[in-house]
Amino acid sequence: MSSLILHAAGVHKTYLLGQDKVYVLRGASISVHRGEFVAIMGASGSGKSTLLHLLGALDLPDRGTVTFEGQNVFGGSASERDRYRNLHFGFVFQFYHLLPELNTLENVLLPAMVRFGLLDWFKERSKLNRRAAEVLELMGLKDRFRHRPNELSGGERQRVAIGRALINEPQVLLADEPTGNLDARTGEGILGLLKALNEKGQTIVMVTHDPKVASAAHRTVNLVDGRIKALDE
Amino acid sequence: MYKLFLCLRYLRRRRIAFFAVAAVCLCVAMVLIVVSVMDGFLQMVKDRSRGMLADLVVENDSLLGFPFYDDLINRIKTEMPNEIHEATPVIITFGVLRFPVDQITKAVQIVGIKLKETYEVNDFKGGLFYEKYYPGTTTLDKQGEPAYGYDGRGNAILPPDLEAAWQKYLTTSGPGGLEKARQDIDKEMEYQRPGYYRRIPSDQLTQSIEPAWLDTDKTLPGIIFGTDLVADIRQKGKYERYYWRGMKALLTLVPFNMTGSPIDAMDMPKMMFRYADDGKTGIYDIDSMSVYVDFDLLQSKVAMNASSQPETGARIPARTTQIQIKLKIPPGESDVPAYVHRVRGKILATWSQVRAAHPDEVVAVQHLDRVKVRTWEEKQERFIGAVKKEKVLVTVLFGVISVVAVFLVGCIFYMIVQQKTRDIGVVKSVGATSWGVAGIFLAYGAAVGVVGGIVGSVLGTLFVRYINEVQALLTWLNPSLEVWDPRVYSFDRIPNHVEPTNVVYIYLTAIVASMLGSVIAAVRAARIWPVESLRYE
Repeated sequence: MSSLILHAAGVHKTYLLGQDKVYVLRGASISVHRGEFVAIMGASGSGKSTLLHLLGALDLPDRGTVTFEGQNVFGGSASERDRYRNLHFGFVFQFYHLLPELNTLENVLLPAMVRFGLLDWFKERSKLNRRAAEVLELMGLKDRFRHRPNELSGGERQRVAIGRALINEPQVLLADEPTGNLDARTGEGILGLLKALNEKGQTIVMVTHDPKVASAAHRTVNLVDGRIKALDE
Repeated sequence: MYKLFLCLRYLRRRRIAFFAVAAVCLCVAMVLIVVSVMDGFLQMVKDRSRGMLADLVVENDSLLGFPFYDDLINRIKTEMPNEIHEATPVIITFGVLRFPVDQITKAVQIVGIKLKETYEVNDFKGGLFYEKYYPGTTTLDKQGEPAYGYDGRGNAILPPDLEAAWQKYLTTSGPGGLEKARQDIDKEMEYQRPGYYRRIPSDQLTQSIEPAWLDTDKTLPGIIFGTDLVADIRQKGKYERYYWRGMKALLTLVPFNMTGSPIDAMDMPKMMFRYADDGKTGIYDIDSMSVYVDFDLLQSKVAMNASSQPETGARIPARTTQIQIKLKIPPGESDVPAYVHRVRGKILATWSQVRAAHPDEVVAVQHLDRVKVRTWEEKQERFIGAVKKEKVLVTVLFGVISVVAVFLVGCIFYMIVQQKTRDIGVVKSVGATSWGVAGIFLAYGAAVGVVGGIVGSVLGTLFVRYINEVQALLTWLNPSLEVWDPRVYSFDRIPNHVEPTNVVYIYLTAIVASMLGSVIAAVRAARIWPVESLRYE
């Protein structure tokens, strides 16, 4: 097995639901190696998405640690976490979450815009545009550059979202129910795309409740009662 | 990069932001219009309120005046030739004016001036009507009444000296001279000369009649009226004269004795004058109340000339109520007020010498003690100060009203942030910091200010520029919409100058205000927790 890239150890997370404290994660641990395609499975409300958000430094754990390439993700400041997210992670969400005011190309370029300041952006612009075009071609969206999200189908939107996640060449792609909102055929297409990316070396962590979808991954872990129950290694 | 990109995109794509832009634009235009008009009004008031005042005015605030003025004038003229351009005594007193032709009687302020010297010390000459079109013909000396004659072809002609003066006006005033004069030529009359002259009575207009100066003996001295005493102001600042040049007018004067009591009413001197000219200083209160006559004549009629006490035979020196002094301001002088104050100090020192030089003469001491030297600004400070305060007040009021725009921007931005929580979550999920997200909305606010400010500045500037045309249009639609009555404001046009520095200040304030309006929304956007906003569609 190749080197460990992402590791969560004993992470706890609670939410307040009105007056009640909801225990979502109770000491969940997971390891992800470079080049792996891991699926996290679990029932609705089992804390899959929360674990994914913690792995991607989008949320803070109450207890426990997450390390990325051996470094504690939550050791630094908020802006360091933002930077870390921008450079090393790409998120794909169930509901695509594209910005409606931006066209396909601009949506894909958004993380690159966040990455570069104004001057650097203008220096790197042509390179970045080329990269975005390549990514979109890879996603099969060659003739959709100027379309707005509302002019695209669900599958196309999710491809744009994956393109956005890939633009900064992240080390880990975090996908939260990427096929959850798509019909079976389109969903298969997206899974095929993810598999193809993984074959090229992209590390992927995917959350799903559907065993069929999970079967696309190398390895599936189950999240039950806030803990990783069975590792199918 | 994303901050600029997203803020520009939101500005273009979010229609609701147009309301914020429109609010900023209207407020900028409104404040600019108010500040410009009030600024212009203040400047006009400053320019015009100078009226009959020279740079410095020596006076003792008493109708009885003060003596030794001629000594003071001689001394400062000879001792300070580089500082004093001209100094002239002026008597200000009160009396009753009656026009024998229609028996109209009015209380007036009578100003005794030395005409030629007055031309030198202030802008009195520039306000004279007949002197403008018939240069050199206005005098306060004894004179006759000019009247039209006919050249035999039905054309009215004035006496040769007036015709020559009119030709002189036409040649010296340049190409637009006749056009300007046309406003003052009564179109309903057959006369083609500005002003109002009587004509020599005749039944046949085709008959050739020599124009003439009636009253060839020139028995009556001239009087200059404040224009509003003899004319009505019509639309567009045009005056319509209802008395003719050369008409007789009777003045009843009120002399005071040395203790300040008016003399017996039965002995009040009456004097007949001829209408030599009319002039305006631009201040209605002055122009509707003042008449100007010869200094020496008035001085003797109100018993302010040199005399001797009947009982003791002691000499009483001549008095005046004011000395108007015009200074020579050196061309390179950077601090004019300081220069004027220095010269004033010298004049006061000279006045002390004048007083010391006349120890024995019989004069009430208080006449001398109260003598002050004031700048014209100090004399008009109360009037100008009131307008200044008015300007500040109106600007502050409209500024406060403009705060509404800040709140509107605040509300609209808050709504946008509310609608955009998911997008903000997305931007954060790809690595944008909280400060960065706040920056998007602050930049958005600034962009609203920049765009609204530009449009508002252009609108406001255009409105001010064409404010008189706008008023003309409104008046044409409905005469009661005329807001600027020249009879009230003394100025025939609404000030329409826009000061570029004002535009810059207002523009910058608009940007800062829009950013202030967006602060709450920006803070809210920064605090959005991405996980919350991304969980659901």
